[in-house]
Amino acid sequence: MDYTFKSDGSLLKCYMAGEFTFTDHPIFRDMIDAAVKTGARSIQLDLQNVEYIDSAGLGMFLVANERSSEEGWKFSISNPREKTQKMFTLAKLGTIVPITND
Amino acid sequence: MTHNANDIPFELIENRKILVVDDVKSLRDVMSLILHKAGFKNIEQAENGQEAMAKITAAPPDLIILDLIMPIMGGMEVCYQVRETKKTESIPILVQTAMHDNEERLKAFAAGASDLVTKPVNALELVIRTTLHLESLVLTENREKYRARVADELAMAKDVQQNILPSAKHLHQIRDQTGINISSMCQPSSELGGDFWGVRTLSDESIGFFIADFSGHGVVSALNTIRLHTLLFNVGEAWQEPDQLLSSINQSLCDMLPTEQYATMILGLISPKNNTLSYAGAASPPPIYGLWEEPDKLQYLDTTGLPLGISRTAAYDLQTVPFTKNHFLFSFSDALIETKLNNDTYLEGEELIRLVKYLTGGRPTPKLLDQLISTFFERGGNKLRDDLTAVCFDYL
Repeated sequence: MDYTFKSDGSLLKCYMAGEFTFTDHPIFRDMIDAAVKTGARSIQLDLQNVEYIDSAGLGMFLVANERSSEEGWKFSISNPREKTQKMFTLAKLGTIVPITND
Repeated sequence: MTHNANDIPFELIENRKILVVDDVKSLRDVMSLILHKAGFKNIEQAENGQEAMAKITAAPPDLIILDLIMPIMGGMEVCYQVRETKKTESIPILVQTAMHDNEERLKAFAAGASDLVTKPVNALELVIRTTLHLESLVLTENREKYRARVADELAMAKDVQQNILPSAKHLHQIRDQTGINISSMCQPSSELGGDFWGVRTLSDESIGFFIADFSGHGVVSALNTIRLHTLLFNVGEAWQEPDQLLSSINQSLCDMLPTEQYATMILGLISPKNNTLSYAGAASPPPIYGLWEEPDKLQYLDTTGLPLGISRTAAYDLQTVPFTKNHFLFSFSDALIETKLNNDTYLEGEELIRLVKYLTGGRPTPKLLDQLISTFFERGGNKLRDDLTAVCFDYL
């Protein structure tokens, strides 16, 4: 998994790319750390270039979501691909994390 | 010795056998004396390559210090022979060469030398290099011991986990008591997995079952399957209300699991008396359900629901569908539909339904599960990166 940041006022978008699985745990944690350090009030993970997310990947979103409520920033996800969206729908992730499509 | 960076006590290397090979007796004696003074206690000598090979073959030393030019058999030949034999191939060899002879130094490495020591001998260098290579030998041995122990323990843990899955005998008993036939497979991707399933016979000859998949795989997921096994071990007739039972498991798992760990699950009740299947889903892959004789009406059951262990307030809906002697239910974990096949496709959605239709041909198919899994493997599904579980319920 790779990522790049793009700041849009108070919203920081993290464009993730590639596969997001169990082994990406450290890089994901670093990404969230770096994103939080920018002081953004709102952090959005953009998934348009993410090909595959496994169950551990979904678990990491849950951790980021919990952290956002503890630290008082907004967490959201945008533009999941069809396969990813199916997984989110099945797991009702939208009831926990806002999921948007541009 | 003070240059010990690896915290390996000198006692661990002082008795390792060192073989000093040189045709000049005085040089052999000097090197042996240097090593002896440094604390090494197990030093042998050989005066040419042939004698060295005889000793090495009879009882391999832990380290060889080797001269190159010797009568009868030279050092290069010793290097080749040691490296060619499985039993001796990893013995460290320190070759003595003159500092200025670059070509000879390269040849020594090409022949299999582990390292070089200067000739004429420098006492401190000889001791340092000898110590270094013996320490690294100990480190390698420790790592290998550790690896072997972990592999043993994982294999035992896998046995424990396999033993809590329903046995063939148990499934036969269920068939005798209820008429319900269950075929299954459960294959972890690494030594241990997060997939787990189970089935119970209830007092009214219905059966309660579940198929679960903990996030991730490996040791943590496997431990979680044991937690689930405990939670469902003795719940009696609670199986009669799949939605309630699923909610109560969810609440227990919320207390047990850290945020990033969760489980997907389908928990159901098949009642031969009522000809029904009732179930509640928590994001497990939708199973295929239908009548053998009506392949065009095969469908996926709705298992939408928040995975278990995430939210204490999650509610799970009870769904009920007919389940007669002519119905079947094919349930599976996500590895079946998320493994990329040889032609870069996935066995999912309509494709999976098509395969089931093809395999059954509109007739009751007792070997559906076996045939489907073999087809999956033939198409490249054997490169599993997640655990694979599949369970088929029918009356055949």
